[in-house]
Amino acid sequence: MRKFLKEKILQLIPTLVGISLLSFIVIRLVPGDPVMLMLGERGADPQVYMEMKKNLGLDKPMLEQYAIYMKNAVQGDFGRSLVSKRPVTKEFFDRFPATLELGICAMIFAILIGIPAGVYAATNRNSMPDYLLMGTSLIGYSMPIFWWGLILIIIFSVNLGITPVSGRLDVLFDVPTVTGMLLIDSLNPKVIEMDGLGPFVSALRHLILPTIAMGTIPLAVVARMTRSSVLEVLRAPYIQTAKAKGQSHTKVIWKHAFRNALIPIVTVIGLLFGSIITGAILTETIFSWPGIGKWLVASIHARDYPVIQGGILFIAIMVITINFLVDIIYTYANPKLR
Amino acid sequence: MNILLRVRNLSIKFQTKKGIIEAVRDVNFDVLEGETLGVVGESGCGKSITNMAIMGLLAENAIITADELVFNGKDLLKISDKEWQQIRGKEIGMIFQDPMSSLNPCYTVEQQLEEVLDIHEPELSKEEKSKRVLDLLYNVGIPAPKDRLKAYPHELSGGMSQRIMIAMAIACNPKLLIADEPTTALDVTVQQQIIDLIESLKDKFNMSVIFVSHDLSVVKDITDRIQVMYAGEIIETGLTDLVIKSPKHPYTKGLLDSIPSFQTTKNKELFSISGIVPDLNQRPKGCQFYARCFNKQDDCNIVTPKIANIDDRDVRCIHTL
Amino acid sequence: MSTQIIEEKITFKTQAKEFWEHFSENKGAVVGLGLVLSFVVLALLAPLISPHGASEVFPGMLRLPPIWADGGTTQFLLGTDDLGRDVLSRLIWGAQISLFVGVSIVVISTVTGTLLGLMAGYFGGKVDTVIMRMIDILMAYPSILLAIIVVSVIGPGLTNAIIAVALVNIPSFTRLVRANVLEIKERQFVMAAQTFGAGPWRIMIKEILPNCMATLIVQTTLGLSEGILSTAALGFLGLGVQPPTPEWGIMLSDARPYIQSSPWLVTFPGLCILAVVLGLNLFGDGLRDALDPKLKR
Repeated sequence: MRKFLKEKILQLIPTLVGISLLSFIVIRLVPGDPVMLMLGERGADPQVYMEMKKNLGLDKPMLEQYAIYMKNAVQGDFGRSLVSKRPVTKEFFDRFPATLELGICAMIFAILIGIPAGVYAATNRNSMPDYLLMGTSLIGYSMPIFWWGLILIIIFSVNLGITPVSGRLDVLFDVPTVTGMLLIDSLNPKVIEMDGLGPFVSALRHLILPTIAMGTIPLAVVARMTRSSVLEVLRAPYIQTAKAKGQSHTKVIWKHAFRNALIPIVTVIGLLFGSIITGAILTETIFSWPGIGKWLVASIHARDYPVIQGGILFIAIMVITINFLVDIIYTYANPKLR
Repeated sequence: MNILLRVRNLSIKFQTKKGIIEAVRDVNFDVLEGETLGVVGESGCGKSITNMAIMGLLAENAIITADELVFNGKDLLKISDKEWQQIRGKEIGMIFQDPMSSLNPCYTVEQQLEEVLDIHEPELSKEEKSKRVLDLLYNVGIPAPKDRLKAYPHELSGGMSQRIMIAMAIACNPKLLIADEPTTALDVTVQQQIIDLIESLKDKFNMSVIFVSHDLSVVKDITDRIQVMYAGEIIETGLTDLVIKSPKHPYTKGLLDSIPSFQTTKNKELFSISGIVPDLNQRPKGCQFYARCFNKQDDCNIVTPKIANIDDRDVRCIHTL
Repeated sequence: MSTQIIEEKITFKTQAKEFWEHFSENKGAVVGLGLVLSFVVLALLAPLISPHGASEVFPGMLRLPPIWADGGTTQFLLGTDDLGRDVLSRLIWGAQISLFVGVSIVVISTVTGTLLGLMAGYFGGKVDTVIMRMIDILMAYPSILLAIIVVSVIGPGLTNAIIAVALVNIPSFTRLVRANVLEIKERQFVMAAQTFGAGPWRIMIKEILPNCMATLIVQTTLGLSEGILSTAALGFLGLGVQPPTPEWGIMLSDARPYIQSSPWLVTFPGLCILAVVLGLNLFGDGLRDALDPKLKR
C-alpha cells in the first residue's frame, strides 16, 4: 500500500509542474504588454511602469522568472489583486469556504437522493418508476445549470417567495467567521444566544436553491451510474449464491450487490467534484454567492491577471488532490487491488 | 425409504419478447432420503432450470406449473417469500458451477460462512459461530483452516473456492444438497477430490444429493440413480449401474458412446451425436430427439412419446433399445 | 441427415437494417433523433423560416410578452426582448449559430483527439507518455474553467470560443480512442497486417480505426451536446460569442435583469438548449445501445 502511495505521488509531480507552467504562461501569452495589462492606464507613467516591471520580475530572463514564480508559489505568495490590492491568497481563502459549503451540500444532495434512486431503478428495472427516474435524470443532465438556477429563482423566489434571491445570509444577521461555513458558524453558542436559530435557518434558506441548482447534474449522474452499476452486479453469480443461502431480498441488494456496485460509483463521485467546480462558477454567478467562482469570473472581466493566474492554479490543485484521494479510496475499497 | 422431494408434471415456461417458451415439460421424479440422484444432459436441456425451480430461484418471467412440487412435506408451489428464505440454505443447500465467481469478492471466507449462520441460526454467540465455521472448514477438507478465515475469494484456488461453497451449503445440515455442475469449471485433478468430498459429506450428514452434470463419466460412480434429460424432458431414469450397462434410450446410448476412454485405440474417431438441440421456440412434432436418433422409425416424429415403465426403467421412447 | 450451413451475405444493407431495428426499439432514442433532426432543419432553414431578422430592432415594442399572454401580438409570437428584437427569430437564428459552433467544435476535437489517441495507443512508449501527460494536465481543469482560461488568454469571440471548447473536449476523445487502440492492437488481424509489412499509419487508419467507429460515433454525439452546453455557458458569462449575435447563452444572460418582469425571456432560450442537448443525449444513448452488442440487455 505504501509503495502504491509513493508511486501515485510521483506520478502527480509532472502534472503539478505542468499546471504551474500553464498558469505561468497564461499571462505571458496574452497579446500585448503584460505590464501595461497589469497597470492599465497608470502605465502611461514611465516611473510606475519601470517599477511594476521590476516588481513583476519581467526584466529578468524567462527561466529566472519562472523560478521566482515557483519559489513564491510554494510559499503561498501569488501577488496582489489588481482590483482589491489584497494578496491573492488571502482573497482566495476568504471566499473558498463559501464555495466549499455549497459544493459539499450539493454533493450530499446528489448522493443522498441519487444512490437510493439508482438502486430502486435497478431493482425495479423497466417498470414505470424506472423509466420516470431515468427520464428525469436524463433531463437533469441535459439542462444548462445557469438556466436551471434562473428557473428555480423564478418559481421559488419570485413567484412563491419562499426562498431568497441571492446571497448567503439575511442582512440583519451577523455571524462571526470561524470556519467560514455558515451552517457551522451559525451554531456557535454566542450566536444562538443573540439571535437564536435565526441565522442558521437563514443560512439554510439561502443554501437551498443554489444546492439544488448545483447538485442536479451530479444527482443525475450518480443515479444513472448507480443503476447501471447495480444492474451489472446483479448479474454476477455470487448474487445467486447469496439467495441460495436464504438471504433476504433487502440484504441481497444492499449487502451483496450494492457493496460491489459501490466501487465504480465512488470513482464517479470523485470525478464529479470537477463538475462541481464548473457548476460553482456558473451557480455562484447566478445566485450572487460570494465564492471563488464568482470571484474568478469577475476577475476575468476585470482583467485582474494575478487573480486569474492564482485562481487557476488553486482550482487545478484542488481537482488533482480530489482525484488523488479518490484513487486511494478506490484502491482501498477493492480488496483485489490491495 | 421416504420420499424427500416429489415432483409431478412440472412445466417451466418463460415469458419472452418472442412469446412463451416452454423450457421444461412433463417432468416427474422423486428424490428419496439418503440417495444420490444424478441428472445428466447437454447444455440447455433443462437440468439446471429444474433445480432452480426447486429452490425458487428462477427469474421473474418464469411460469412454473406442476401437479405436485413437494419437499419434505411442504408444498413449494404455495409458500411465501419468507418461507422460501427459510428453506434455502437451511433445508436445501445448493452449489454452483463456477466457484470463483460465485463467492462475493468483497467479503472474507469467515464473513461469508458466518452469514449463513447469521441467517438461519441467529441465536448463536460469536464464539459458537467461530467454532462452527472452523468445523465446517475442517469438514470440507481445507488445510490450516485458521489461516484461511481472513482470505478473500480472489486469493483462493478453484478447488478451494468450491470447498468453501460446499461448506456454506451444508452449514445448517440441509436435507438436500443440489450440486449444479460442481466440477465442470475445475481442473481434472481437483474434480475427483470434490466428488469424493461430496460423497463423504453426504454420508456424514445423511443428506440426499442431486448431482447435475453434462458428463456421464463424472456421475456414474457416485449416484444411485440416474436421470437423463433432453430438450426439457426426462427421457430415461433408472438405477445408475443398469442405465450405464444397458441404456434403453438412443440418446443415453449416444452419451455413453461419446465418452472418450483410455481403452479406445488411437486411430478410432471420437464419437459424437450429430445435429443440434431443437429450437425450443419451435418444438418439432413427436419425439424431440427424432432428428438426431440413429434408431428412428417412421412413427417417431408423429407420435409424442410418454414416459413408460419398462422393467427397471422409465423411458420416453416408443422404440427402445 | 446432413447439416447444411447457409451463409447469409452480410452486406451493408443488412447491417443497416439490423441497426435500425435495434435502434427503433428504443423509443427515447427515436424521440431524440426527432429532436435533433428538427433542430438541424430549423438551423439550416433559418433564413427562410425566421419571421424577422435576428438583430432587427422594433423601437417601442420592448419586452412584449408571448402571444398567449396579455399584450402579446401575432407579430412576435414569443414576445420581444429588452431591445425590441423578436425572440422567436433570435431563437431560430440561435439554432443556426449553435449548430455551426457545435459542429466546428466536434470536428476539431474529434479529429485531433482521435489522432492523438491513435498515436498514443499504437506507438506507446515515450509518445504515449508525453501525450497522456498533456491530456492529464488538460483534464485537471474542469471543462468550463479550461475554456475560460483559453478565452481569457486569446480573447472572447466566436472563433476563440470554438477553439477553447474544442480544446476542452479533446481529452475525452483521446482517452477513448487510446483505450480502444490498446485493446484492438493485440488482435490477430493487426498482427497479420504487420507481418505483411504494412506501415504504422496504414494500420492505424485502415485496421484499427474502423473498429473504434462505434464508440467514436457515440462520443461524437455526446461531444456535440457538451459543446453546445459549453458554448452557451461561455456566452452566458460574456466570454464566448459576443452580442449582438443571437446565441442562446447570451440571450439568457441578457434576460437576467428582467427575471421578474419578463420571465419568458429566460425560459425560452433555456428550453431550446435543453431540447437540443436532451435530443442529442437520447440519440447518443440509443446509438450506443444499438451499436455495441456487448451492452445489450
